[in-house]
Amino acid sequence: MKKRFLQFRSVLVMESILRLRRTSTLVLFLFMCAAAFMLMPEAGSGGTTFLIDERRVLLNSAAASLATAMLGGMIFSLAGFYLVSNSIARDVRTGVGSLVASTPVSSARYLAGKLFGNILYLSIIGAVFMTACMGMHLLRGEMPLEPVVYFRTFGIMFLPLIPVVASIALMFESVPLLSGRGGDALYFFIWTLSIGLSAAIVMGTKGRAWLLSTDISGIGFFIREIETTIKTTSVSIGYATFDRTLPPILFPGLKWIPDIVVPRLISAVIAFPLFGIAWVSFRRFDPAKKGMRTKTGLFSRIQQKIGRSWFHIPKVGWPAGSASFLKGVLLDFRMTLVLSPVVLAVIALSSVACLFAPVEVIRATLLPIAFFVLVPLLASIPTRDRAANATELIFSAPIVRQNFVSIKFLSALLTAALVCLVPLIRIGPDSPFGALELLNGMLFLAAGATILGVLTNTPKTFTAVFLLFLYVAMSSRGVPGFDFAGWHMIGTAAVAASYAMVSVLMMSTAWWTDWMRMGKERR
Amino acid sequence: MLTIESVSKKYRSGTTVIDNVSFECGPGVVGLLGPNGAGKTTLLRMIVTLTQPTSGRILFQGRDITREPDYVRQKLGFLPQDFGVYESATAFEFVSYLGGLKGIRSRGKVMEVLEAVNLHGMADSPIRTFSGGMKQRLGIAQALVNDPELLIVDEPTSGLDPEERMRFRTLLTTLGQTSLVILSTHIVSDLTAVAGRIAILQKGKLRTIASPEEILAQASGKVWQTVMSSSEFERRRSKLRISSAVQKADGVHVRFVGTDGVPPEATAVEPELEDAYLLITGDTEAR
Repeated sequence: MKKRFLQFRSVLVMESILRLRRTSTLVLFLFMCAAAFMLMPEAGSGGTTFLIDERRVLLNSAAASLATAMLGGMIFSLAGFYLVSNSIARDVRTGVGSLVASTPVSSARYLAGKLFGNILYLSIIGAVFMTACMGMHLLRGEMPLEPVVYFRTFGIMFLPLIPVVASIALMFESVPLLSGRGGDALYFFIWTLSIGLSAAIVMGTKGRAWLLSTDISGIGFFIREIETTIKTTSVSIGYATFDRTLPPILFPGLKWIPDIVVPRLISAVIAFPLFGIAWVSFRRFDPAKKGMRTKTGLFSRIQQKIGRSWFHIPKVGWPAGSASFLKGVLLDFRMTLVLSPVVLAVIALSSVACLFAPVEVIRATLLPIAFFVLVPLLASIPTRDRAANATELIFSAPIVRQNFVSIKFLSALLTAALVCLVPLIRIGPDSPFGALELLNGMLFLAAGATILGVLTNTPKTFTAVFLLFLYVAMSSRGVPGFDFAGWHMIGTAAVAASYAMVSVLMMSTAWWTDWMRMGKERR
Repeated sequence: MLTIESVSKKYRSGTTVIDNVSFECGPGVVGLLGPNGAGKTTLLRMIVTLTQPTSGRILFQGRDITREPDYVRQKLGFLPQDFGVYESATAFEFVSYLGGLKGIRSRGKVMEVLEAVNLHGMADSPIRTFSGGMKQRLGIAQALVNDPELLIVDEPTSGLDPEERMRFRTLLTTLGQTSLVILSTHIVSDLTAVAGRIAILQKGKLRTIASPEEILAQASGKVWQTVMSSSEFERRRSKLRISSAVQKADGVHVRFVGTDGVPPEATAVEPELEDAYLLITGDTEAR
């Protein structure tokens, strides 16, 4: 028994050590602080994240904790998956897996250690977020901070959510069909659906509180509770402007009665069957077994097969002569096509669809789809060399090391530009500003992929952050600030300038970070 | 101690990687030699339960390890050819982690194995600061942390400097007094120094398993040396099974094995293990 616990604890401790020491964790802590800053706007700013009957809700602990926990929960249910869905893949990639597999640790204990490591990590991130929100309450709250209210609200939101997200991530990693980029993309669609389902569940729970136990995200639970407490059906959570002429409303807080709380906590039990699926599917790092033959998932294997048979990537003979920066960019772009031939399919489909669709449809529908598809494709460009342990080989080529960030950025931009070329040509004559916004959006996406790839060395961070951002941008049809690529045709010059500045800032940070690394390498 | 009974491994593609291999071995150091693609790594992976044989049995201390993999895993130390490390962990954390998975909690034991591979001074340093040789030594340390009764090491000395290589050989000799050590390598001189028995695999088949002396005896009278001009060497090189060729002032000093086409001016010399290996496998990949 003691030995079994020691094995479980060893996996848990190592998992926590590795995650907490990553630069991406620090980036995440900062992101959580920034999120807390944005989710609790100053009352005088004209914006709020909690409206009841079109009236701003006074920022007491009950209201502020509820709004931040709900919005944070939404972020967590998506980003949390990407944050922890690389623990088994890491062992495969680094080769530690074969060492682990030759030890007497059972698959169940190994996976349990991974699961609880994931849970602990997400709990720490959640605690940082809650602390940041309480800090913001001290700055912007309109009534005294009540920590117990925060603990209770975040607890009821995150306690069931975290184990479920962690076990989904583990299951996706263990099931060969769901691992890799295909699984990452699939989860995003599942998450999008689950948000909609949450609302549907709320509608169907009248008098049947147990149904709330099927609402994993907790959004349905909270909305129902707010509606019950306030006796209203007009509740808005998320950034919105409010009518300053209407007096703010006081939200008294939720009723914490067992009939409501218990089903919420029960929703965590879904983690058990998910863990069971992971356990059954886990292959213990045997490359001869199905699903572990390669380090890539189903999506990669399919796209390689289809891509290679459908599209011929020309074996370009580069002109003789010294290496050049442009050649570096083009070679990197060609490697994108070789490794992900699906890019060619995306370019072809996007171009054909955009040739015939009306400009409005291109902007409002086809471009968002293209951007969503671009995210996983661009995510791997700055990180794939490190994942393949090929950085030293690549850096030994002339020109590359000192221009690595620029090459990766331009390679990502070139990929995005080819996908968006026809839309750009179609939008340009109709709306020059719209074309400029699209260019700006491409720059933003390429810069985001570069900075997050350079900082964190994993494609997951960019995938998680930008899928969430695109989702918010797509949903915020009335908010000019989110119209970063001209999808909704409401963006302003100030918005475009802001995104351009953010892109420049991101690239400057990427260049600076790489420059610092080069300095370290020289020492 | 370890019995391999008619073990074969076939992949779905139809490729036979290991073909009806059988041998037995007790405590001591057993060297595993073979050209690239001979099936050495696959055989080792089957012994350490990372993959299962398509047919045949592998018994350790009389227990079938395909049925009871945990039995051997508890007594096993394994250093694969391409092992990895967690770069952000320290040496101590990494060895403690794998020790923990093997049920070893003692801090003293972890420090002891780090000392055995001369890494105790770097115990608290992140692995990302280690050189390739230091990582290799760390791999050796994790394999030793549970005092294994069966130690499997695949190409362990690549990346080690001569001093560390000597140190490692001594370590293996000590371990081989009580445990079974299977050492797979391309570096024949490593085996000469430590192996009590040598198994030679080729194209998935066991060509021989014998003591170094017995293997050397097979090559006796079949190893030759001569000096020839460069042009003559170029003319003859494809016909001779050359184990070494060194260009010197008086011509090319050629050492070769075999009995056919021996030039009359060649003189017989005492065989070395590399010569014997070449003679048995009939190729030159050991160089």
